[in-house]
Amino acid sequence: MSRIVLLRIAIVAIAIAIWEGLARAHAFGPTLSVPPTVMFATMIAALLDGRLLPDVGRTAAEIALAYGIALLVGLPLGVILWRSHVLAIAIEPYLLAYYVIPLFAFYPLFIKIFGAGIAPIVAIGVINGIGAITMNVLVGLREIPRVQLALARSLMLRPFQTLVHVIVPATVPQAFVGLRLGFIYSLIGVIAAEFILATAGVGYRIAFSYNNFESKIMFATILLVLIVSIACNQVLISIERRLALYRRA
Amino acid sequence: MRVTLEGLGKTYPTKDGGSFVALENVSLDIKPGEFVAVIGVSGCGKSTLLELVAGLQHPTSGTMKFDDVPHSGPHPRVSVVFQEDSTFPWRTVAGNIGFGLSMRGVDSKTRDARVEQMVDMVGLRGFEHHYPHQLSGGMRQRVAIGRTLVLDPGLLLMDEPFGALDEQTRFVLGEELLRIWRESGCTILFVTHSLHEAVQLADRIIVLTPKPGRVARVIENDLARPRRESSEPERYGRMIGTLRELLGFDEARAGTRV
Amino acid sequence: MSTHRKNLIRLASVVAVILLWALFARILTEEFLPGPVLTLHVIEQGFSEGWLWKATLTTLSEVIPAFAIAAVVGLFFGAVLGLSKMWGEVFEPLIIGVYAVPKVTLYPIFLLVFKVGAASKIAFGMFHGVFPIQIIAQSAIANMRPVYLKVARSLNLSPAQTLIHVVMPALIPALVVGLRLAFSLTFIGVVLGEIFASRGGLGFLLSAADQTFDVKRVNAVIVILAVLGVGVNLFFNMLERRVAPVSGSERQATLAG
Repeated sequence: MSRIVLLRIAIVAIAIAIWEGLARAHAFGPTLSVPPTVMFATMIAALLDGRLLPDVGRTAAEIALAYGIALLVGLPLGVILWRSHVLAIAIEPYLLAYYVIPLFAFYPLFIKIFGAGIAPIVAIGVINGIGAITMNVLVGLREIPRVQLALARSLMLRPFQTLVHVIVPATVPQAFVGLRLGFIYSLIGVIAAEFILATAGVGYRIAFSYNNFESKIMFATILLVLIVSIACNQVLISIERRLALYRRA
Repeated sequence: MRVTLEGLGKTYPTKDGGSFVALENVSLDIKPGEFVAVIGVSGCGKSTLLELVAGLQHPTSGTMKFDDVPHSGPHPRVSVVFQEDSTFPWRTVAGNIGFGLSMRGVDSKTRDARVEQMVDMVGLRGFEHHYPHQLSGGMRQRVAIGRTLVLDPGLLLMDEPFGALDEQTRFVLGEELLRIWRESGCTILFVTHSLHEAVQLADRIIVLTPKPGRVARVIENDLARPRRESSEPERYGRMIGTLRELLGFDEARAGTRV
Repeated sequence: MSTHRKNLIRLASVVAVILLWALFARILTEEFLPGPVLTLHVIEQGFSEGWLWKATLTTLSEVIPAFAIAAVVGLFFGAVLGLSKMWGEVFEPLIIGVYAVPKVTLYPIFLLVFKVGAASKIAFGMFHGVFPIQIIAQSAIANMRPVYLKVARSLNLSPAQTLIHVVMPALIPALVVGLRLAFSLTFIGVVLGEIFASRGGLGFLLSAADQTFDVKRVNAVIVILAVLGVGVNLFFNMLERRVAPVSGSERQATLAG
C-alpha cells in the first residue's frame, strides 16, 4: 500500500481515536459524548435486530423511486434540449437558477399538490436530482467532437448506428457525472425531506431521536447514512474515472 | 555584456541514491553583442545550461562571470524568454511589456514611454491594449520578447522561443529577432533544436551532446547575413551537414542509438 | 443566433412561466394557489409590515458571516494543500468524501453544539460553503502554470511581489468561480437550517407559514429566496466575466456542477 494511502488511513484513525478518547471523558457534554465505538456498535445492533430496517427500507425505496423518476424525465429532457436550440435557450434562466436557490423551499407546495405521505418526499428527491442529470447529459452531447459526427455522415451510417456507435460512447463519460451527481442529490433531497415530512425513514429517525434525546440511536443512524453515502459515492466515482479514460484529453 | 562560463556543471541526485550528470565542464566565452546558438538533441542539457545562466538553478560546479564579475542567481541585466507562452493573461500587451519595469519601481512616465518604443520594436503597434488571449502564439512570443528587451538587458537568454510556432512564423520572427538584435546591440544566447534556425541566426553555434551534456564542438558561422539557402547553397548545405553529423543524426538513421 | 434574439427567448420563457402560474392560480382558485399578482402584493405587505424584511435581514445576517468564514477557511486550506503536492493528494479523497455526504444529517450535531440560534445556522451554512472553495483553491494553486513562477524568479521578484503580482492574479478567475458556488451552497445551507430548527429568518418564516397553511406567505418567501439566490449568482457571473474571458463551452461545464 502506498505511503499516501497509509497516511490517509492514519489520519482517519487518529481522528477517530481522539474523538473516542474525548467522548469517553465526556468532553462534549452528556448528550454529545457518544464514542465512535458505541455509535458503531449501536448501528450494527440496530441493523441486526431489525430496529433500523423499516427505516432503511423506506428511505431506500424513496430514493430508488426519486432517482428513477429523475432519470426517466431527466435523460430524455437532456436530449431534447440538445436537439432544440430554442428550447435550450428558453430553459437557460431556470438552469441558472436551479442549484442557487433552496429547492427544498418548495416543499409546502408539494404537500399541497401531492398530499401528505411519501409523494412530496419523492418529489423533492426528484427535483434535486433532475437538474444535474439533464445538465450533464446536455453538456456531454454538446461536447461530441464534430469531427466524429462528420465521420459518421461520411461513412453513411444510419441514424441508429450513429446513435449507438458515435453519440452514446462520446456522451457517456460526461453523462455519467450527471448520473452520479443526480443520485447523490436525490439521496440528499429525500433524507432532508424525511426530517420534517416523514413518519418513517432514516431522516425521520434522526430527527425523532434528536427530539427525544436518544443520542445513541441518533448517532448510529447518522453513521449509517454517512457510511452508505460515502460508499455509494466512491463506487460511482471509480466507475466515472474508468469511463473518463476513454475521453479525449 | 560579456559572459564567461568556466567548467560549468550540473548534477542531479536520482531517486535510487545515484546521480545524473546533466551538464559537464561547459566552458564558453561569449563576447559582447554576439549571437550564440546552442543546439543539441533532447536531453543534452541545453535547457539546463540556459537555466543556470539565468540563475534559475545553481551549478554544482564551475563559475559564471558577467562582464568579468562572478555572479550567481538571477542577474539584473540578464533576461529570459521561455519556450512556453509566458504572457500574463490578466495584463494587456502594454501591461505585460511594462511588467518588469513596474516591478523594478520605474516611474510610470518613463515606463510608458519605453513600453511605447518597445511596442513598435516588436511590431505590435495597434495591439497595445489587447489581451494575450486575443493574440496568436507568434504575437504572444513578441510580447514576451518585448517584456525582456524593455529592461535593456546585456544578455538575452532564449529557450527555444519559437518552438511552439509554425515554420512560417518561426522564420519571420527569426528575421525580426535579428533586426531587434542589431538595433539593441545586446548579447543573445539562443537555445534551439532546429539546425536551420541556428544557421539562420547565430554567429557561433555551440553543439552539445548528451549523457553527459558537454560541448562537442563550436562552429563559427561566417555566412553573410541575410542567410538564405539560395544565396550560398553549398556553404549553407555543408554547415547543416556538419551539424547533423555532430549531432549524430545519420548514425541514428542507420539504427545506432545516440 | 444573435444575443438579442436569445435574450428575447429567455425573457419570453420567464414571462410564459409567470403567465402559466397566473393561469393555474385562476383555475385552482387563489385560495389554493395564490397567483403572481397576489404574491407580489403579499411581498409588498410583508416589507411594509416588517415581517418579511426582518426575516430577510436575519437570514442575511447568518449567510454573510457564514460565507466569509467559509471563504477564509477554504482559501487557507486550499492554499496549504495546494502548495504541498503530497498532503494535497493525501487529503483530496477525504475531502471529496465528506463533500458528498448529506450534510443535513449532521445538522442535529450542529444544534447540539451551538444550540438553536444564529450560531448553528452560521456554522451549518459555513460547513456547506467551505468545500467548493477549498477544492477549487487547492486545484488552482496546484495547477498554476509553472512558467509564471519562472518569470517571477528570472525578474528576481521578492516573495511578496510574486504573491501579489503573479500568484493572486493567476488564481483570481478560479477563485471567483469557487466563491460563486460557495455562496449558493452557504445560502441554501442556512435556509435549510432555518427551516428545520430556528426562531427567525426566511426558512423559519416558510415553515411557520406552511404550518399555518398560509400559502400566500409561502409563495412570498419562495419568491424572495429565488430573487436573492439568483441575484447574487448573477452578480458573481458578472464578476467572472470581467475577471476572465472564458469560452462558451467552458462556462457550460461549470454550470453543470
